[in-house]
Amino acid sequence: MKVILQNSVLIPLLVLILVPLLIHLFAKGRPPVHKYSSIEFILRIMRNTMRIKKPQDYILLVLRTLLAAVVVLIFLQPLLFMGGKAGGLFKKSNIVAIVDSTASMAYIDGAQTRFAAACAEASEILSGLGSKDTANVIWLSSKPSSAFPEMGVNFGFLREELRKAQVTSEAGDIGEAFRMACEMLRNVEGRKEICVISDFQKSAWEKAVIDVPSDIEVVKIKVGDSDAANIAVTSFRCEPPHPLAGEEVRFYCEVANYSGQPRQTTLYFGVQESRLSHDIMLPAHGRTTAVFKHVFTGAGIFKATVNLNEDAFAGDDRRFLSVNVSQSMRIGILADEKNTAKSWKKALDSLSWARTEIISEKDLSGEIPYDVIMLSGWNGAGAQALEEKLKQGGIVFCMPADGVPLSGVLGLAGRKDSADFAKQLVRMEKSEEKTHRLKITNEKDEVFKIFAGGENVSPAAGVFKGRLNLPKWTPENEVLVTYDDGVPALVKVRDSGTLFIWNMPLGRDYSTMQMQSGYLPFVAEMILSSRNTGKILHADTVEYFPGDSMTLRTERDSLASDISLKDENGIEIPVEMKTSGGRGFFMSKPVPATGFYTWKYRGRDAGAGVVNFPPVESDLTAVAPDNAARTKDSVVLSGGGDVRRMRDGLNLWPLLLVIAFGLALTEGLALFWAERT
Amino acid sequence: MAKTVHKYLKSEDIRKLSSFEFAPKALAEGYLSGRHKSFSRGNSIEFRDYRQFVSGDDPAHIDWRVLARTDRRYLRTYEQETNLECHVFLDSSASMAYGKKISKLEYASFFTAVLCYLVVKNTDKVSLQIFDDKIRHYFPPGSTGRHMNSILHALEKNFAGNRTSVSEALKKSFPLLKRKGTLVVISDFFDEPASVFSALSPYLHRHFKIHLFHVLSPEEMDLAEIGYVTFEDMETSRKIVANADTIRKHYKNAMNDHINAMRQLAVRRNVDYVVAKTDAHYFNLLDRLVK
Repeated sequence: MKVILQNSVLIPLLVLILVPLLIHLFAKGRPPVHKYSSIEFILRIMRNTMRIKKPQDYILLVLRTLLAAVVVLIFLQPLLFMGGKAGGLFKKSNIVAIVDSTASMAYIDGAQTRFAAACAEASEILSGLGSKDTANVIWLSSKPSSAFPEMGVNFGFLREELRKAQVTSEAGDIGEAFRMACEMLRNVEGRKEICVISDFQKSAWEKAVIDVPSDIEVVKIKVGDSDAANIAVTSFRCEPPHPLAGEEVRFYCEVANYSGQPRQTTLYFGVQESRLSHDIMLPAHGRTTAVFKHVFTGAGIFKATVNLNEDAFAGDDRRFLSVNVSQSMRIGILADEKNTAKSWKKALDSLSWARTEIISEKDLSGEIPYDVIMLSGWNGAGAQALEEKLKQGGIVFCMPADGVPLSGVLGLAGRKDSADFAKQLVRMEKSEEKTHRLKITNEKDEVFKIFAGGENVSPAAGVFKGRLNLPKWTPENEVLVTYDDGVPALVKVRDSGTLFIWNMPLGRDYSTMQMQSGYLPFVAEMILSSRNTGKILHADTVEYFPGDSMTLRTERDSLASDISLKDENGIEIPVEMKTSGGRGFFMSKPVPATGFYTWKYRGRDAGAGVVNFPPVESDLTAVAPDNAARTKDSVVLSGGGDVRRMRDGLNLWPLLLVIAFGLALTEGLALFWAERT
Repeated sequence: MAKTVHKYLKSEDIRKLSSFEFAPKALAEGYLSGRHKSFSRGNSIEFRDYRQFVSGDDPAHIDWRVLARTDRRYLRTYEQETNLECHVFLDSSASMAYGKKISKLEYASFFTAVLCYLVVKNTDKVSLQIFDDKIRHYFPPGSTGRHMNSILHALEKNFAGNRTSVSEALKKSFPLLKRKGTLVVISDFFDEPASVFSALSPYLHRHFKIHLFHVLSPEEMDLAEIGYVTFEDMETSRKIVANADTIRKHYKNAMNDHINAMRQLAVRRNVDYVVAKTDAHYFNLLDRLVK
């Protein structure tokens, strides 16, 4: 805090503070002489009463000196500057108000939302600006935006913007907002100030580190109560993520309690015509997961919702899920090694949910449209497309061809090994005399889960006369099945997608496995269990957050007029066509609200997406403004009025006047007391 | 002496005193047979007591009637009437100059003059000592008009002197008094009461009848409301700054304590003690000394 004097020319008046002291000294030093017969009694009295009188005199002296000082200060008109930046009083002020409009600001504190309080504070800051000053407002959201492209002087417009502004359901990009503010202030003259008005939500602000140039002052104004209690649905997913019609689907709803008190609430689930509810008990600062089951009878994209009883922060009480139910899985089989491919196709064709197609190497380019790709005798073709498919969560079965470098197989598994052994070629070994049997090495893998029931069906049975000379595989836990001599027979590499390295050549020339009773369920289970990676297979069912742009990729070239995006109420979201990697895709304008959105292609459903509340915004616990977005030399103030006072100073004379009256009254009382005693 | 031009003895005072007779309630030790009772026994008509004859007594004083009746020799003793000696001690220290309408010294001088006149008028002897820290004037006992004139002249020329010490003055004066009589001390008694009465002890031992007149001005009895002033001691010139208004109450208490102490000691030692306020007429003080 600093104080400056508006009437500094009157500083010599400070000498008047000495007046009471001088009066005290001289008035007592030279009072009129009164000749008296004997002062013995007076001396005795003074000796006895001096120790009582002295403090009274000093108290009176102090009071009178203070009174004189206060009176002089009133004439000097002091201004108090909080934050210690009094130097810029006569400079032009440039203020950028960063107003937090993220979802947490929708919380209702008392009679108004935090956002409304923040806008009022920002308006208060602007109201004190002069004609020389400039200002701007930046809305802190997922994509921060400003009211003016650069610093402006139309404060009325800014106040009108603040009055009309609505809180978003988005998370905030704090760094970007500060970057914009610093950029705006970079080339302006005078005082530069960034006023951040926010609830300083711990989850968003605690770890943010902002680099602000030293000539810019940062002021933080906190709005809202730190102890806001909230319950939120933080996660909503299903297993399997892409179910098949007729398959039982489990919906997992995670509910979090962001308060210090245990809470009881009811969770409502809805999908198709089904409505279910669960009463749940939430421990303090705890989480609970509720599970709902549902069976989809047909294929399609379905909306599932889960919601809680509404509380003071309603935005996160609801969550959506888009469930893409398929009638069958589309399986592409590359049949370069025909015996194995034939055995695969024969087995899968017997399954109702599998739709197999024989594909060629040409199909292994670009975006591969198949849910599962089975490569028999793979020679390394389309490696890039396959890797991309795996990243997207696809399932790939790969049996390398004879003579393919091992590095190609490792590449599919995401191992970029340049060691000598990677240069080895994969060779087919075949012997009529020396046969091999299989051995399960990782029985705990979910592929073998259904075989653990004791139905006496072995998934890895049969005799093998031929096989590929795969080296020992590491890590060992990825090897599901080996031959009796330790050579890997089936390796499962699971990351975003699932890669099965198949070293079990099928067909009469190589093995008897395809004739075993466990073969068909073994292959089916490998495919079904691998869908549970939790990753999304199709881009058209991805989860978005408010402020994001939704995208849609189409398999064939389409016109922008063919595609539209609509929310649950049928309101269309503008879409434009973009190009990436030589292929076009469609991107919507940022979606502002949570909900279920449907892509339409020429009026028909082409995909869906959900926009959910950002979980980071649900925890309303605040961090102390000092610790939020660690900036150098930031000042924490309690309101916009303080910002004005920090800039313009607080005129202290009314306060001094009151103090002067108080001192005068006290002096009178002290005098009365002194005389009484 | 009916008409006087003396400052301290006015004609009207003389007229008033004509009806007064000096008669302190004490035995005097005088050389003339007179109206005042004396502890000296001798030839007189006032019988006092019988006493057994001892060798050396004048046989003429033997009561022959008692001898005849009891065959024992007793002497008759008589009370001797004598003239009175009045010793007046007048304090003329600097503090006696204090007083607004009339200074204490003037007041005391008026009283002294009247008292001396009253004593001389009755053919008694009066002595006067004017003292401050030492005996400045001493007039031995006398009863003539000339003696009275000397006293009055001395009073007129008198002025307030230096510091005072009543006790010192009393001690120094004691050897000067050959005969016992009435001792009148007129002072403001700014001295320790105990030391004053200690100095009076020899006089009391010699059966002096002592009258103490404590002369005070009303302003001394009750401090005037004069606010912050520098009090300057008239005797020592010492100064002190004080708010008279705030110490007034304490001062009054201190003064009362001093007077009470004087009074208590006076009662205990059978000494007459009077506070003489200068706003009261000095004739009122004569009540203690006349009949």
